[in-house]
Amino acid sequence: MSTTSLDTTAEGFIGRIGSRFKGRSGLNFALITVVNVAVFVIVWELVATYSGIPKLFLPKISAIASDIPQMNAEGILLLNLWFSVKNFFIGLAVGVVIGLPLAYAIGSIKFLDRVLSPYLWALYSIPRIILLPLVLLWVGINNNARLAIVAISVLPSLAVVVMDGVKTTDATMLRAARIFGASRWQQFLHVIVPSTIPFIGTGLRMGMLRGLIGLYIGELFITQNGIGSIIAYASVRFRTARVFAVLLLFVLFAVSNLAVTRAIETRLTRWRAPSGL
Amino acid sequence: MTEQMERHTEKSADSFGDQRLQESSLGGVNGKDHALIQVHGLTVEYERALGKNEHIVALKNFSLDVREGEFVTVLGPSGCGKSTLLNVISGLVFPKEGDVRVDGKPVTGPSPKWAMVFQDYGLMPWRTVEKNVRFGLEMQKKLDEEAEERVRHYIRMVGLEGFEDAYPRELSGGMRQRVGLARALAIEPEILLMDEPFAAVDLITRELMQDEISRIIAKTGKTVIFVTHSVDEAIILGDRLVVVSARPGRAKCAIEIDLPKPRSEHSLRSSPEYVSLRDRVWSELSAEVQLGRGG
Ligand SMILES: Nc1ncnc2c1ncn2[C@@H]1O[C@H](COP(=O)(O)OP(=O)(O)OP(=O)(O)O)[C@@H](O)[C@H]1O
Ligand SMILES: [Mg+2]
Repeated sequence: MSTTSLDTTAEGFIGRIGSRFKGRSGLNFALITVVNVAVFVIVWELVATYSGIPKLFLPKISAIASDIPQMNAEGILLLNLWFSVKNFFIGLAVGVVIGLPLAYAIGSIKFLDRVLSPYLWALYSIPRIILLPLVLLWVGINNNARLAIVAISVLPSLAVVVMDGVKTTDATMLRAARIFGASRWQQFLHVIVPSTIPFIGTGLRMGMLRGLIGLYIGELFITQNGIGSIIAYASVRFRTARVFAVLLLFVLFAVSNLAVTRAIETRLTRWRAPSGL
Repeated sequence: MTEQMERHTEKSADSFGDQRLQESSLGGVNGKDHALIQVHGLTVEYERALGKNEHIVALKNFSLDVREGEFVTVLGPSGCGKSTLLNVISGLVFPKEGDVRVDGKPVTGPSPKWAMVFQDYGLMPWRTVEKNVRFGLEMQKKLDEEAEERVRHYIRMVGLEGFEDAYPRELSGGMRQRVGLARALAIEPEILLMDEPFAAVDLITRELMQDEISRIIAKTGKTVIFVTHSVDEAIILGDRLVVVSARPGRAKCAIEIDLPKPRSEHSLRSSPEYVSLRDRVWSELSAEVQLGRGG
């Protein structure tokens, strides 16, 4: 059929442009990142070495980096890192396990939306630093407080995004599902869930960012263990390089979390048009 | 050579028409003297999102009977309630007054007896062509060997073999609409409800799709209600054409179209019968469009 062959060439053409575009920009992006980081590191090192700023305020980046194996040798790194990371992931899991069903329920049931979403938005907009004393009061000054602060950071950020995603589910798609005999459960499973996956990705990334801030706040206040204990110990002894080293690890952890979420999301939503096309 | 071929097709078209006549009279003998779809006195109201107790009356006392195997095209001004009509017939929307019966039984919800083709496709973007076509069978839990064969059959019928693994975003508008059509055909419904299915495709694709629809419907013998904005499309595809009045919509007039099939816009354009039919439909329709604007 003539249309088919016409469409084929058009499709192939777009496909070719698409892959070339993607390939080149991917390379550019990697190059930019490498150069960017290298310039940052070199400038830092030069400024710290020659500017005369005391190393108490600005340690050399080489000193910061070499403090990481040093901490490991002292046997304080892995144990405390594990404490914090564990708390983060448990808190994240709690936030997701409560937040996600809540988001779907609020998004699809008008009554629940009316009743519950004000609380969700309130929780979303209160700065965690204000909630922290309350959390410490309720949970106690221990690991669970950290975990709780991460959970209440993740939960509303994820939920508000996903609940809006559920509300904007394409009406024609839902109509189609109903016409072809989908039960309410099937509509949920085959239309609402897949169409909210991009929203889950965004919500999760926002939730993680806020959760990481929550974790950090928790680390500053709870210092018996976790990386918070390293920071507390090091800052009292003016070991600025160590404080920076912990911060560096923290940033790396945050960035790799976001990258992993992004990668999973991209894999799950390959049906979407690549952005920019 | 071409003349001979044309005469040949005309002949076969005539004999097809005869068959139709016989069939409908046979229907009477079998005791099926009622229409397959009976739409009776429908009044449908929507609540306004803003403003309490305000209603939009989409359809008012709308009645229409559709015979088995009939292809009814529906024309009317924008907003007169055509989509609403299809939604009520398919059991998605319930009328304030009146009822819809299929095969004599009142419609209480969606059923595998009918399927819909949407203007904006309503495909799932995360499903490949094959999985989209399979959607209805999957929802109705009828996915056996035979169903899989049927899925392949209808993908072939709409000319999409080779695109089974493509996602909707990789297809042109016309191809997407063919996926929507195959999805509807795959559940083998008796009734096909089509809501401006070709409104979003270009003119040439549109004509090709019209040919295809005629061919497929002739082959499968389905009953069709086809909503369109195009007077030409309504005449070319329909056995009967219904003009809906400005909102609140009711069936203003129904016109039997007995031009020989298969029809094509190209060959009909010069036929005097077609031209006079077209004029008549135009004047009926434009009166309503102006009414709708004025009101
Ligand atoms: N879900 C809804 N809620 C409120 N009003 C609606 C809804 N659906 C349709 N309407 C109103 O009902 C009337 C008929 O709508 P409908 O979609 O049936 O018209 P239509 O004939 O299909 O129009 P078009 O040709 O533009 O598609 C319109 O005035 C519209 O505003
Ligand atoms: Mg419509």
